Amino acid sequence: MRFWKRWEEHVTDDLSAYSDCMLPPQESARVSEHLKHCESCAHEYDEVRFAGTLARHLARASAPEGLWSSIERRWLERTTTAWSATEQSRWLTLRGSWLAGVGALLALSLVLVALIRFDLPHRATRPPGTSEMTSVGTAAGGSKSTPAPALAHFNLGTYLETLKAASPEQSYRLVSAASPGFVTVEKEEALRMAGLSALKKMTPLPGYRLLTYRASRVGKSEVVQLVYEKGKEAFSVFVAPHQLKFSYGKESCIDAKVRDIRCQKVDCPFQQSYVFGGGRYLCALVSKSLTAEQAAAVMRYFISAHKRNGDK
Amino acid sequence: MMAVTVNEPQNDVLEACRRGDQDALRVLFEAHKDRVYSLALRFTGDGTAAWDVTQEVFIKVFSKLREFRNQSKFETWLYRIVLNACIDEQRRNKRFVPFAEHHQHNQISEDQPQEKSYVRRQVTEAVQQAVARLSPKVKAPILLRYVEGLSYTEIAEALGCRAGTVAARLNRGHKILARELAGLRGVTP
Repeated sequence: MRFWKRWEEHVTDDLSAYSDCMLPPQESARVSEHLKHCESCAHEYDEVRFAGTLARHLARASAPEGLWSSIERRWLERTTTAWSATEQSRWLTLRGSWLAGVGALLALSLVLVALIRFDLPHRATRPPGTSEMTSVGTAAGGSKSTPAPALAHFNLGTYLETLKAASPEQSYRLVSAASPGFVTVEKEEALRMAGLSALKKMTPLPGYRLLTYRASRVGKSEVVQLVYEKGKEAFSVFVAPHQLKFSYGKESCIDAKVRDIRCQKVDCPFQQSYVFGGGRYLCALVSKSLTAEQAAAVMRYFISAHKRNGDK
Repeated sequence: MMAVTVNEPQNDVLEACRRGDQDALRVLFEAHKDRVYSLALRFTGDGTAAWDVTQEVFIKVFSKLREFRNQSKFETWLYRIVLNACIDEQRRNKRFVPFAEHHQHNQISEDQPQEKSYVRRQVTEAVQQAVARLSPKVKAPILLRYVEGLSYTEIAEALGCRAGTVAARLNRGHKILARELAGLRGVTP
């Protein structure tokens, strides 16, 4: 009786396994027998088989060319950065302890000298006022011991300098390399910091992919470096909040107008680098191979994204 | 630096990778790149996202290899990383790469393009889009079954669930696909 009861039970839950021959023989026989008599389950079985036939169209695809070079570069960059951070931290700890010791001795000596020489307890302790310092930040951030900077600079000099002397073969690697002090961050975070969150189109130029996203802190501001690549060509765009100013090492900037876009061109004959933007964001496009038309397209992309992002 | 070839046993390659041998990392990449890229492509339905996921996956694999101690098959471990990366990517890019609205693929008929290869491509595209729209829970076993050809037990191991759960999710996936792609009946090459 119980046996017959089982034949009558619907088999909808077993249909995929039955279709894929994954059921034990006895179960398989039960499903097979049920399907002969149950129209509803037979209909569902037909659907399962139909979907299975279609799903078999999803064969393996071949990975595209160029993947390895991107992965290798990111991996090397990551391992180098990790090493530098560990080493730097160790060095800073050691140096910190050593400096703290020396500092404490010096301070003690000065206090003793002051006490003896100027009889300080009986005088005003405040030294004459010092003028407000203007600190120049670097990609690694300004010194914390100095007063708050009136104007922070992000110096692109080192990055541009190496690029200037590079051959076309080297320039691809250099443009996509990290600027000193930059570390890879989450893509979403990078896009948010760069003011591109509202964009649906992920690339300013056809064929180029956004492959690397890094960030660094300069004073209180965050600067993002986005690297776009196409085969062996690449360009970088640095996006900073407007409070920051770019500086260019030994290079200077000249006012320029590229396809109706007002910008500043880094005055260096071997590269196509522009500073543009205004409003809430300031951007620097660094490239070696882009045409003026392409550079204009990139600038337009960022300017329009920033406008959409509330930058009027 | 040791010379490693694809034919050497995988454990040797993994050991060399753990030591940071660049050649071994390349060998590991070459051996699994199509597997990773295919799953990412079928999962996201988008080539750019698949490229990003493949990069993320290999970077993660290289950096976590020390933690992989051969307690499960390497492929099983890899599948977990790929599927998690796909889910993360889809979540991240939801607002950038909206999946195509319900496609009118069920409009394809044999009266339209006559060439079989064209129809095949259209069908594959339709299936891929329909699969990409499935929920991750249903999509993962479908892909492991049909792209990778895994058994229910292997899928269960990769997803960390029971084989019965895999069968139930496949059932659900099949039903959704059959409904979504009903218009392709009779035109499948």
